[in-house]
Amino acid sequence: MRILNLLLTSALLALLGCIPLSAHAAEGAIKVTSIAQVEVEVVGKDGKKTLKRTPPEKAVPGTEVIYTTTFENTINKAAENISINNPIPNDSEYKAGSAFGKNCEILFSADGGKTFGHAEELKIKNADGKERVALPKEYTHIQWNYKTKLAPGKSGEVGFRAAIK
Amino acid sequence: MKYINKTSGSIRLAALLAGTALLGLVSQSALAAGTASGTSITNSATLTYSVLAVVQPTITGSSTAFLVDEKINLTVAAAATTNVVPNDTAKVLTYTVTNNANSPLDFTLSILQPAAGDQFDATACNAYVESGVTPGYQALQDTALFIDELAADATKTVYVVCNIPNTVVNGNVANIDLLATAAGTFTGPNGIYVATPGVQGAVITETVGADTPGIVDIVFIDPAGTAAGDVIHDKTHSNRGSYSVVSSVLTITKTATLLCDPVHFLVNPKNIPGAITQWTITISNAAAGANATLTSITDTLGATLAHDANLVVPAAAACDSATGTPESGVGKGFKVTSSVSRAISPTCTGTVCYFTSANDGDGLDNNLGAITATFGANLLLIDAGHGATGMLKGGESISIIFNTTLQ
Repeated sequence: MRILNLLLTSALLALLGCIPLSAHAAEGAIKVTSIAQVEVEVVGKDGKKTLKRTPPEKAVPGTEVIYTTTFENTINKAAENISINNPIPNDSEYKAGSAFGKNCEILFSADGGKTFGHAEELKIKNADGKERVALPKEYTHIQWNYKTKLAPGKSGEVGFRAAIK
Repeated sequence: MKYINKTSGSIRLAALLAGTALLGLVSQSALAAGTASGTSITNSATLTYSVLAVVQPTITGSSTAFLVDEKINLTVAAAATTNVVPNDTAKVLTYTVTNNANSPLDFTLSILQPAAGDQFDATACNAYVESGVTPGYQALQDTALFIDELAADATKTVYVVCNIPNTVVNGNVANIDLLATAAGTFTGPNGIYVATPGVQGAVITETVGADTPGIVDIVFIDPAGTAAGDVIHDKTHSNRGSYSVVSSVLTITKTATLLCDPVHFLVNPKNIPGAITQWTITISNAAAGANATLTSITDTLGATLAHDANLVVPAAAACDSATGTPESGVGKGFKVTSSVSRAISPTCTGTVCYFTSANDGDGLDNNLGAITATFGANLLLIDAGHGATGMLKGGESISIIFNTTLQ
C-alpha cells in the first residue's frame, strides 16, 4: 500500500512538474485586438471640419489606413516583457513616422522580420551591392516593446498608418 | 470593401497566412494604378510576454481585413495638330487613352466639337481603336469602335477620322474633343470586374450611400477634361485635338516685256509687226503655304502671235526669230527658272533649264499656239527636296519664259 501511494505521488508530482501552474497563464490571457480605420472629413452643423475615423470605406489605392492594436491584461497577474510584432499588411506601404505606442520602444524591420532596429539602423542592399538606409515604405514589420509591466485589467494601444499601394 | 473582424486563434492565423500568401500571388505587381480591386488586405499582430519571468505562449491578435475598392480613372491625351486642306477626306487625329483604374476596363468613345472657339466643324467624324496590326491609322484594320479589355496602366491609341469642308480657308481651326468613358461589368466574386472580351462593358455606376460589406465599392476619381460637361469624377475624360487648315496659296502672274522691233531694235521698241515680246508666267506658293502639286498650265497664244522657237536674244541691229542668236540653242524656245535649285528636267538640275519648242512631250510644248507645261516625269521631278513630281513647296516659285513675234 505504501509503495502504491509512493508511486501514485511520484506520478502526480511528475505530471505536475510538467505544468508550471504558478506562471503559465491560459492562452489569450492578454486580449489582442486589431482594427483598421480610415479618416474621413466630417463637416459639423457649425461648419467646422473634423476628422472622423470609420471602417475602411472607399479603400482605393493610395488610401491611408490606420491600424490600431489594443492589448488588455485579462489575468490577475502583471504581464511583463510585452512585445508586439505587426507585419505591414499586404499591398501596403508604411507611412513614415506614423507608428505610435505610449511607453513603447518602437523598432522596425526591413528584412521580413528577421532583424529589428531603429529607423537609421535598417540597411538594404541596392542592386549594385551597396548598403543604404531602408526607406519607410520598405519596412516589412513593426515591433513595439512595452517598457513596463502591464498590471491586471490594464490595457495599452499601439498602431501605425499604411497606404494601400 | 468591407472589414471583417476575426477573433484570435492559432487556426485562424494559419488560414490567414495561407490567404495572405494567395493574395500575394495575385497582387504582386506594383502597378502605378495600384493594388487590384478585390484584393483583401489583412492585418494581424502577435504578442509575446512573460508572467513572473516565465515566457508565455505567443498570442495572435484578432485580424482585420478589408477589400481594396475599384477606382475608376483614365487619361485621354491628344497628339499634335493635323494640318489639312479644304475638301480633305479621312484626315486623322491621334489620341491615347490610358486606363488608370485598378482593374481592366472597357472604354466607350465619343466625339464632341465645341460650339465656339474655332472656325469650323469637321464632318463625318468617327473614332477608331488601333488594332495593333499595323501602326498608324489603317482604314481596313482599325475598325473597333470601343476599347476592349484595356489592362490597368495600359494605353491604347485611338484615331479620330473626319472630312474637311471645302469652305475652309488658311488658318481655320476645328477643335475635336475625344471623350472616353469607362465601362465594365462588376459582377464577379465580391463585385470585382468580369472580363467580357469582344463585348462592350456595362455602364458603371458609382457606389453611393451606405457601404455594402464584403463588396468592392466603385469610386470615380477621374479628372475633368476639355469637352464641355466633362467634369471631375464622371468616369469620363476628354482631350482636345485640332485640325488646322494649311493649304497652298498659289498665285500666277503673267508679264510681257517688249524686247525689240525690226525698226527701232532695242531702243524704245514698239508693238509693230516683227516685234518680239518676252512672256513670263510665274507660279508662286506663299511662304506659309502647304506643298502644292502642280499638274499642268496652258496658255494659248493669240492669233497675231507666233512662238519664237529659238528664244532669241535681240541685238542692236537684229530683231528676228529666224536669224537672231538663240539664248540656249536652236529649237529651244522655252526656259524654266526656279527659285530654288532642283531637278527641273531629266537632264537639267539647277535654277534655269531650257526645253524644246516642238510638241514632243518633253514637259513644255507648243501645239499650234497652245503652249502647255505638263508637270510630271519631265518637268519638276522628284529630288531630295521634293517628294513628288510637280511639287511646289511653300515659298517656292517657278517661271515659264518664252518669246512671241507679232505677226
